[in-house]
Amino acid sequence: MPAAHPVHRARRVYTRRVDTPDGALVRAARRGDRDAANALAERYWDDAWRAAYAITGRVDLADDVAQDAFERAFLHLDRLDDRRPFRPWLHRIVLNRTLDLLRAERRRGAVEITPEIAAPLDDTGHGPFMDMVAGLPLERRIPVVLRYLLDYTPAEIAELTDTPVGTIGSRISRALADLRATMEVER
Amino acid sequence: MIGDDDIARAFRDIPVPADADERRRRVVDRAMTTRRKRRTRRRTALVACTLSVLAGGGAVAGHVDFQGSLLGRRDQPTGTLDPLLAALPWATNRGGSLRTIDDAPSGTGSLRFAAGTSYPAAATVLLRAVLTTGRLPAGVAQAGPLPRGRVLMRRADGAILLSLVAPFGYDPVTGRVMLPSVSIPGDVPSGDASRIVRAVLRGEGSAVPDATRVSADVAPLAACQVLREGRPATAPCPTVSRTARSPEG
Repeated sequence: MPAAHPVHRARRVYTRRVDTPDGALVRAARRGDRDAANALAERYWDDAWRAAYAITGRVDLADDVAQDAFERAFLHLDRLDDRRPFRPWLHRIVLNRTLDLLRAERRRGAVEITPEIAAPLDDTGHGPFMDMVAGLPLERRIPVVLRYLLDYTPAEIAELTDTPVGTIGSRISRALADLRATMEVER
Repeated sequence: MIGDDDIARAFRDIPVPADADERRRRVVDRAMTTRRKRRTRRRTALVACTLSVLAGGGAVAGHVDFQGSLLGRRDQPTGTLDPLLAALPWATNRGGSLRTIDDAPSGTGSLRFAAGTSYPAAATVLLRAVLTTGRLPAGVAQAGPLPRGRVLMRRADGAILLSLVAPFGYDPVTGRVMLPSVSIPGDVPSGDASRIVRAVLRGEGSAVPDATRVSADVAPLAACQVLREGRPATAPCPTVSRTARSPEG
């Protein structure tokens, strides 16, 4: 029955994407399983891109961050401690690449991110929100993105960013106050 | 009033570019192809390094073992570690990565041991100092860093220099730094395990349960990990000659 094989395979891949824990996918990807690597990438790519975009405010930098971060992660999967979860490890790489690229942009003399250059998706109707986020100082923008987009707790953000948890808490509070004030006005 | 959910939804509604799927697939293909090529190269290098160990370094090997009761009775209060021992890169690892020789910070020094000291004996002295007194014993002196990837240097006068980057060696092919093994009592909550391991390796004995046990296998070094003063340097190990950067970089 030649037709049975492709159907069975497609179903197996779908099941893996939905149900397989990250750890099993990581182990399979280490052995060279491309389906597993694709499943991991599919699971985390969009949020990684959104995080990079929300922090940098630029589509081109977000593209570069996502590509660099996932490529590094898959090339260095052997360095991930099996006792540690994949997700925060990947997001630490994403965050570090984001900051690296921002520093490189500054060295090249690129201007600071401002609301004026941070709304490349205006035609989707999302520009105003990005304007508000871009208006936050970087030190507040990062914890807000980690908290509300990637759903980390302040303690986890503190570990990801090597910052005291109290400092993270106050930065999030101030950023939220700024965002809420601006959003209320926009509404 | 704008709620937390509104802000979270606004972030999650950020649209990703239409070509995201295509970019993602290209990245995975490129990375996995590179991984496959590297694995092939490493297998070849492994054979070469195994032959190198058998030919040159097989004479040194040892085992270090410490009972937790010794750790728990340190007379040094927490935080009084010799500054040199407090900054050992293999003992202060943070984040989710196992440290490899590629990640080693530059500038980490070495220890100079008297003529006649063997490599296992030197490694034992270092581990004992970290785990018990927090101080280097008399006769052991701080020295400068060894060239990247070298664990041991045999000087012409018989003294040896032990790198503080990877004193228990590292895998010459993958670069993974060997660490002391820490056995923790079974009744310790799993959430405390990593805290205890960190405390052990930082010499904070008062924070370690009595039944904890620490051991380290001092494996034979490959020729590419050793320098002998006055002789031509052997080629660096394959993992050191690579220019891979840390993923956290």
